[in-house]
Amino acid sequence: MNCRLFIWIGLLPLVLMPGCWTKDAASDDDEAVYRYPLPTKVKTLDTGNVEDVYGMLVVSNICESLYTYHYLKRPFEVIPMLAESLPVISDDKLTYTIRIKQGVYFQDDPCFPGKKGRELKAEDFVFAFKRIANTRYASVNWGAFKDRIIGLDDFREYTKQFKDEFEVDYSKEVPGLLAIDDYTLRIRLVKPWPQLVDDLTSAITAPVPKEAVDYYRKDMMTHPVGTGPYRLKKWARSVYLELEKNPSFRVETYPAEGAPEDAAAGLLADAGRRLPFIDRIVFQIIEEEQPAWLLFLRGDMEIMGIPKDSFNTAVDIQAECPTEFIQQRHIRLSISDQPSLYYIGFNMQDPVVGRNKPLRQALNHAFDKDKLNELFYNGRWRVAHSVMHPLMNEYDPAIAREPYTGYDLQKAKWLLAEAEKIQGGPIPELTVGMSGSDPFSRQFGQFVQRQFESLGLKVRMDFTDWPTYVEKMNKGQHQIFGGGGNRFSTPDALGVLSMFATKYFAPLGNSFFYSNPDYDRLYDQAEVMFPSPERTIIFRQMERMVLEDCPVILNTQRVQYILYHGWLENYKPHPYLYDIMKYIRIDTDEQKAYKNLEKELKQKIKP
Amino acid sequence: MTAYIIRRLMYLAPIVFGVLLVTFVLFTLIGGDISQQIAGKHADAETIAEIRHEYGFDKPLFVGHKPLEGDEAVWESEKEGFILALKNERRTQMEEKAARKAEKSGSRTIEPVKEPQIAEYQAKKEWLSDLFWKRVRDKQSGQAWEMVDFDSQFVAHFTKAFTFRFGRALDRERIGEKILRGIGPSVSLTIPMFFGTLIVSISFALVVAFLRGTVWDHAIVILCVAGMSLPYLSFIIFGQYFFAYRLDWFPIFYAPDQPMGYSVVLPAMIGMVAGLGSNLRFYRTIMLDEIRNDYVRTAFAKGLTARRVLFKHVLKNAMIPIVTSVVLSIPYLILGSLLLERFFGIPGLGYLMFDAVSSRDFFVLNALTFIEALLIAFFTLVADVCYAWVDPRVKFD
Repeated sequence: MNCRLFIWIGLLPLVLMPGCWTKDAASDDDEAVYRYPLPTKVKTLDTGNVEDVYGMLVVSNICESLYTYHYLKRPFEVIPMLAESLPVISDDKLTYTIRIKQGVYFQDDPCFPGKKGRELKAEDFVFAFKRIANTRYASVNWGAFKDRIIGLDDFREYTKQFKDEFEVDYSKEVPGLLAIDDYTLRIRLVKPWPQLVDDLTSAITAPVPKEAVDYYRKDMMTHPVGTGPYRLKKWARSVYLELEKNPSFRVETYPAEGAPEDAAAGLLADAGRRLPFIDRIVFQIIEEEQPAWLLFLRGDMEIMGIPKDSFNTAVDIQAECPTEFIQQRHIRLSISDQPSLYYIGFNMQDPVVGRNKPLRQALNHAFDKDKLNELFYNGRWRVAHSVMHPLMNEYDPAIAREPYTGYDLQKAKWLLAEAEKIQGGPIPELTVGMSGSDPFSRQFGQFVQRQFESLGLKVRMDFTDWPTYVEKMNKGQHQIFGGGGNRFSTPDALGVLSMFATKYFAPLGNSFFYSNPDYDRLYDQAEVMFPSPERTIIFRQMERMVLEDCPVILNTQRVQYILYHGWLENYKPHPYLYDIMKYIRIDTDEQKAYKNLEKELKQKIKP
Repeated sequence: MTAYIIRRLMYLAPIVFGVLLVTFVLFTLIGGDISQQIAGKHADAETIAEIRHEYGFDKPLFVGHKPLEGDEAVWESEKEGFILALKNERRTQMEEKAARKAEKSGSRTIEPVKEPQIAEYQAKKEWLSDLFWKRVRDKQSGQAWEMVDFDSQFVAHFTKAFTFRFGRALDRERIGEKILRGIGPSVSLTIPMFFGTLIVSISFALVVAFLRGTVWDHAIVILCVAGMSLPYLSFIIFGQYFFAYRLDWFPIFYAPDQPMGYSVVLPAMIGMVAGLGSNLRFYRTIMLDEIRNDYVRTAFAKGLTARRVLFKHVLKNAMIPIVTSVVLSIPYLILGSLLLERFFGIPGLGYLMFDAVSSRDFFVLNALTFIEALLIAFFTLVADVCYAWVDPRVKFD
């Protein structure tokens, strides 16, 4: 009797679950669904507080900004999105007048009267910017606006008197941020801000309807209300996000112009057709690589990056093309540069490494970047020779031939002898701070340690968790530290150069505490300059100053390898554009045919 | 029995207090202030301060002092007077010490005393402490009590736990909602997995015990040891690749548009197989202990069938360790399976726990630890009570 009882208890949950054995119900549907694996969960969809890549990837499809980048053209070109045209800039470069498109409506949402989205107005931008300035809202994006717009910093001061973000009176005027009328926004600046238009392409500057903030309050993070081509249908936190077509999206068409090679690649075939093409977008959070890879191979994901362990299965690195295994499945490979920089930084305030340039240079030349690339990134990333990325207009290709970054152990040893003279004896034990203690970080740390130890130095690795690492970095408590990331959101190189300016000492970006009055003078000069040959000369001068003083050992820059199925049309990677999904089209017939192809190919695999 | 249960329930109080104390030390004192992590790498001081306030990191750890009520100027002058007196007192002490030192060493010169290094903060604290006790002495204890600020991180920690209002996680979602949402998927994975393992391992254990010493017994024991030696992850990776991808019998990952039952079949089976080795060996040992008893020989001698002897008599007498094992496993069933949920995308509590660990979300970890501790304490009591149910010889005195 006991046995029977156990059997029934065991089977009960399965029996009770409806539809337990039904399979793949959605596959007969003709609607175009774009399924995208997210390797990490999305924290927030509130544009004022979104900062991570994956949050941007989702929210940019829902909330639009004033400007965007042309999807196909290279070099990257800013074009209007919610703005009617590019801004009218005053002669002193301090006043921007922006006309906003008429007839743009927010998505239908319960926050609006009658749940019907209202028309977008210039005031919605003013509100969004003021909200980011509100101290009590605690936006992580305030740094982008600080000391830029006349009166906005005063507005931030004013908000400090309140206990709650919702008590702040947003009707208080900010002289530099005015809605002249419903369709005209005027921004007045403290000093020229040549990157403003680039910065206005980001979803963090998207308009926010005040009704939504009043209605959802703290839950605004799960209820984005925008004007974009998609709207949030469902968000099961930590599981998946589903976006559906926004029925009230205005008429936007696929671009008719592109880069010279785009027509041949079939990227202009849909020119003039109304956007978006895809009916639904499903972002599924899959943190482990194996399930994501298997789903992709089975045709249940349209696109994905290549897991490290499957790289050789997917790519013939010598020929830089997909392997036969991938080609048989009509899967395509896209290789594109990511504007990023990974490095080993020196704390310039440290009494040992900060005051000893030959020591920093010795460590730089003792660091084998090619080996690092080979060992950790299958040799597919780019070895960095400059703080600027090759995608940036000011990048100087000649820099790679200059003697700043090359691996040269002999030279390193000679420099170390110089360094020991300055130190007045042997170099004491060096400590390298690394974030994380996972196997990858440990292996990376061991590699760094071995490189430095090849000079006969004693090196200690300090593996800490992320908050401790950041705290130590911001307080200048690391001696040497590993760092980097995808930190450049626009093609303008000023952002990366700010990492070495004295006024941006950590936590604002200069974690090296590098301070060079000549560099600062040039930075102040270049900061207010619009792109020009003169500015390029200054940028390159600054770049060489940094490479000469060596506050950082440059390692690698990410190269993105993406696989996508043959049924995905119009895909072209863009490092600065997050809302590319509206341009993508899915050939549903080919998508369905893939299932049979995959079945046939699987049968051929020997067990 | 009622008295026993009441007594055991009362034992829960110090256990719960202890758990809360340990979680406070682990997640608040050692874990530290994670406002920088929430605010992002380049956040300014004001944003960090606001986030500290939002999550209560700016509150005193245990107890603090509230700002004084009344005339600020009077308080300030009294405070300054106190600090001055304290400094003078220290100076005198140090001068006396220096004189004693000189006398002892036979030196004629007394080392001059440096300005006493009394930190402003320390002095303020001492002044407040002095004021507090002065008020207590003046029988104004009510007023003194008001000065103590109980709005601290320690009190908030206990309040959150006892009211089951755990606040918001790092991603600003309510922790209660997260936990409630995770229980269903976790249970739908772990209950079939657990009972499946239980039924299969007990049945096999009975048979193996019956066939003890034979080649079958040895073969199964070897298989069990082999199964136990293989890492759990290898079962998952192989099962997912072979049964879900190659054979296409099951979904590879939780599909949001499919019922949960469809997605948990494969992980539940993998969990069953992975857990079979250790379980089977455990139950085999129990069965062997029972099967060697006299009553079994008697039953066989009386001509009962092997099935009747094993399933009716042996199984019934082996129920105490089985019940203990089953009841004590219930809290872990609710908590789900960390690896299976992560690899198969089951949005349960195991996944939530894994996620909280990797993102250092101490708020979620704290809530889950507390709930788990309560469940374990409660089900330990249930297990004790169940002894009496399965074995009439057990009495509660």
